[in-house]
Order: sequence, then structure tokens, then C-alpha cells
Amino acid sequence: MDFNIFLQLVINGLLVGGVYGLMSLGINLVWGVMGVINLAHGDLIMAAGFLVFSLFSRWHMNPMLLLPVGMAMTFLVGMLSQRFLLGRLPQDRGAIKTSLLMTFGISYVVINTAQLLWGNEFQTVTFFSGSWSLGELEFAKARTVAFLAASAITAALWLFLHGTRYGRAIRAVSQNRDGAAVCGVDQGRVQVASFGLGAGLAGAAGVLLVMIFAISPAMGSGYTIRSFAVTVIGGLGSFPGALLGAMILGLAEVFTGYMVSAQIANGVAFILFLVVLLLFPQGLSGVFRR
Amino acid sequence: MKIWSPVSLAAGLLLVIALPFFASDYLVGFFFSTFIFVTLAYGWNLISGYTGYLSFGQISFFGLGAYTLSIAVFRFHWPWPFGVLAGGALAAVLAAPLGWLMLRLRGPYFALGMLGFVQVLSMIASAWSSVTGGGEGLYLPPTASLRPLYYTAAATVFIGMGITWAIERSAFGLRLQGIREDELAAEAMGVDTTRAKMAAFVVSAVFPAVAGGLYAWRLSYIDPASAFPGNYEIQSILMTIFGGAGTILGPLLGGVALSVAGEVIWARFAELHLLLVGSLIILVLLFMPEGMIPLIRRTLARRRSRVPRSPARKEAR
Repeated sequence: MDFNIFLQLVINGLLVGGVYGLMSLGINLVWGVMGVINLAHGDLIMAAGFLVFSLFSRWHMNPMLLLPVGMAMTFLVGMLSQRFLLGRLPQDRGAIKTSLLMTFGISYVVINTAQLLWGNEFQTVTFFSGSWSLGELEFAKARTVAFLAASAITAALWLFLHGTRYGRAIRAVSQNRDGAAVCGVDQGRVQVASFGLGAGLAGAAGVLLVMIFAISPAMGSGYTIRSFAVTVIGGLGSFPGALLGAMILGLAEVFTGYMVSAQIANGVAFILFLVVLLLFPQGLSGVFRR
Repeated sequence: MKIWSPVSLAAGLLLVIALPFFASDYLVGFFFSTFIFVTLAYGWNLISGYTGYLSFGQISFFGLGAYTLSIAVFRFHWPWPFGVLAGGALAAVLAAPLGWLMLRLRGPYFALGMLGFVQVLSMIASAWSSVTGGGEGLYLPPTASLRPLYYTAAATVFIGMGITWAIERSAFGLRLQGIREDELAAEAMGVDTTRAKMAAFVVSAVFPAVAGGLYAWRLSYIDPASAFPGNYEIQSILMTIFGGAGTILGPLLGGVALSVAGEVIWARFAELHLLLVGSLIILVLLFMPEGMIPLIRRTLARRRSRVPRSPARKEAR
């Protein structure tokens, strides 16, 4: 392989990896706080992407201005689902299973709603076309903008979780539920907030992804698996781990897509997920911590 | 009255056998697809209902069965029943190593792992076009008659019921339920949990594979989208939890009730189908988490015991 092509692929992979990191942080957060994976995560990503696509095709606005709209929509859906559906399930030993099943149900509601509103076709937002070049290397504008936005949101999330009372309450619950409760943290509210936040991050990722790739409502579960795989690779509750996992997945997909085929690249997340779970059950960050 | 009785079983069997003699092709076709769903539901019930390992990927074995039949018929000109059996056998052979890998994962890990496995199989089906026909799919010779398919599907349902019944009454069934309730405790009691889980997984993989083979032969066409239909997965899960997960009759009751309801009501709202299925899952989990069968059983037991509503309870309030 030509060295320039190699560098170009690395750049493409890292740029997409930034967005993958953002979307996986949503699943990471919810999992840490509630011990549940939101199986509708990928479908919310698609829904936000489509919402912004439809607004964009009507007004031709800069999609970055529509980013808050996509985030707000999924944030609301997430909060309402936790408040009125998941929060009402009995918290017994089977709680994780019933919650998983319920998010599976929610995922199909989201898919069908998206299909009804926006159709079943592949769509993409072509606002940032072309690329900036640096020597022989090309930085596709859409990917670069998406990467920068994802990094900014990731940084803001880190500041929120570490610097504010609310963020610290969320982290406290995910570290030790009972301990947090003893210190006066209202668990119900934390769960509603973090589920909403997780969904909001999915929404943000959806808006950024629709600028890079063509998406369709039926593609959601692929992104749920990607987000989960990144979390597994990086280890639960670890920010650097999530970013490292996202970069690994982004690179692996880009290289597989170039060397084998784009179809096979879709399965890379699953393979990585299995390999990491079998070799390092704690995730890669667990390896470094040792 | 009991739910289980030789009389009701014989009556049901007779009705199923007699149906094609007086019913229209449309009705027979409807019951054929109902049986496909019920078979899927029985498969899911074993691994998720009894053993408690939530799988969102049993449809991968459905696709495997569908492709096995199609390739056996299309490339090797086998008679279709052998294709269906080959699909079931292949699913069992594949499920053993897969189960060995996946069943060490628990909760969300297993659920997501199986969801990913569907994607991998459907990716292989699209990419390996010299065998599977890729995205264009394979066209099979159109089926002449529906009756043999109908009877095969009905027999599969009865076998599914019989196996579930036998498992529920066996020590093996108790082991599975022990794993569902508390895997660590079951292991501490000396249950070889890995072996029990793997056995349940293998059996639960055969059902969808057989259903997939029958479905492909009826459709006489197969491509990745029709071999791995996500909506079949969610519908069979809904049918199982609606009827009662971890019960012998739950998948049958849920499958038949929801198929009839689907045909009568939902067929008019085809566009809303997934929305309705998803919402129903949510409603069942909120308001009837045990499903129909336990409810019916409790109602019948109350009626049989004929204890008048105890006045003590009223006083206690």
C-alpha cells in the first residue's frame, strides 16, 4: 500500500472515530447509571439524522445550526421513555431483562415513526462538500467538521460530568448506587436525566453522521452495535477508553472497507466486540490500568 | 377446568388436520404463516423464556435455514423436505460453537452479541454471491401445493410444544430455570450451567432454522432482506411474552391470538405494523409482564377452589 494512501485512510478513520466516540458515550453513560443498554440508541441516531435532513432539505440551513434541534428531539424522547416507561418497570432481579426488552420495543416504535415521517430511502445532507488539502492529504470537509463538533461536545460532556453538581451526581450513581442514595442523590431524577442525556448524544451523533454517510431508518441496529462495541473495547465508564475504542473501530472499518469491501466493514464492530470480550473482558482500559 | 387435557389436545389436533379439507387457500396460508411464527416463538421461549438469556438474534438461524433450503434446492436439486432438515441440522452444528462463545456473555453482552451475529450472517449472505446469489437473491421453482407445507409447519409446532413440555417436566428444565433465576446459585448447587445453556441454545436454534426453510420454500425466493427479517424477530418475541414466556402453551396462545388480531385489525394499518408491535411489547411489559397463561391459570384456580371472597380481607382494610 502506498504510504500516502495509508496516511489518508488513517485520517479518514480517525475523523469518523471522533463521531463514534460521541455516540458511544451516550450508551456508556446510560449503561453506567442504570446497568441497561438502550437498544433504541442507534434508531435515535437515525431519527435525529432524518429530522435534520428534512429540515435541511426545506430551508437549506447549515446543519450545524440544526444540531441542537436534533439533540433536543432525542433528549426529549429519551427522558420521556425513562420517566414514563422504563422507570415504571419493577426493580426486581429480572429488571435488566425487562428493560432490555422494553428498549427493543421502543426501538421499533422509533424506526416505524421515522419511516412514516421521512420514508424508507437512503438520505444524506450534502452541505459541506469538497475537502481541504494539506500537502497530498485530503481532509473531507464534512468529516472534519463532524470530528471537530464531536470533539467539542465530548469535551463539554466531560466538563459537565466532572465540573457540575448534576454531572457529579450522575457519576456518583454510576459508581455506587447505594452510596449515592445515602448522600442524598435522587436516583429517579438522575436516571431520567442520564437517559435523556444518552439519547441526546445519540441525536448529536446522528446529525453529524448524516453529513458523512447516507443513512436509512432501518440501519439503526448497526449503530447500536457499533456504540456498544466501542464501549466494550474501551471499558465501561472510561472516557479515554471510549475515545480509544472509537478510534480503533473507525480505523478498522476504514481499512477493511478499503482493502476488502464496504459490506464486510459493517461487520467489523461485531468481530472487534467478540475478540475484545474474549481476550480482555474488562476492556482495553482495564488492561492499561493493571 | 384445566388448560391441559387430552380432550382439548385431541380436539386441537383434529381441527388442525381437518382444516385444509374445508378451508380456503387463503386461510390455510394464514395458518401456515401463524405456525411459522409459533415455531419461532417456541425457539425463543427455550433460550430466553426458560434459560433467561435474552436473544435478539434467533432470526440468524431462521436465515440460515432459509438459505440452506434454497441452496440445497437451487444448486443441488434436493427435494425440499431434505433441505428443511439440512437447515435444522446445520443450525445445530453452528449453534454449538457459537453458544460456547456467546453464552459466556451475560445480560446486555449476550443480547447485543446475538444482534450483531444477525448482521454478520446477513453480511455474509450479501457478500458471498457465488453461493447465495448476493443481493439479487435466489429464485426457487414455485411451490405447487401449500398443503404439505402446512402439515409440516403444523407438525413442527406440535414437536415444539412436545419438546417444551418434556423439558419443563425434566431435571434439565429445572436446571434451565435455575440458571434463569440465579446462575451463580445454580452453579453452586452443582449444575453444569455451561452444558445446560449450550444444550438449550442448540435446541432453540433448530426451531427457527426449520421455520426459515419452510418459509423460503413457500416464498420461493430468498435474499438477505427476506432471510433475516427483523420484524419476525420482534413479533415472535412479542408473541412469547404476550402468551407467557417460560410456559408450555404461551408461545402457541400468544402466536395464534396475535396472528389473528394482526390479520383482522392490523392488516388495515400495514404502515403502522412495527409501531403497533413495539407498543404492544411496551404495554405487555408494563401491565402483563407474566403474559396470558399465568393469568388464565390463576383465574381458573380461583374458580376451581370456590373459596368465597374472604371477609377477613375486607375487615383488614
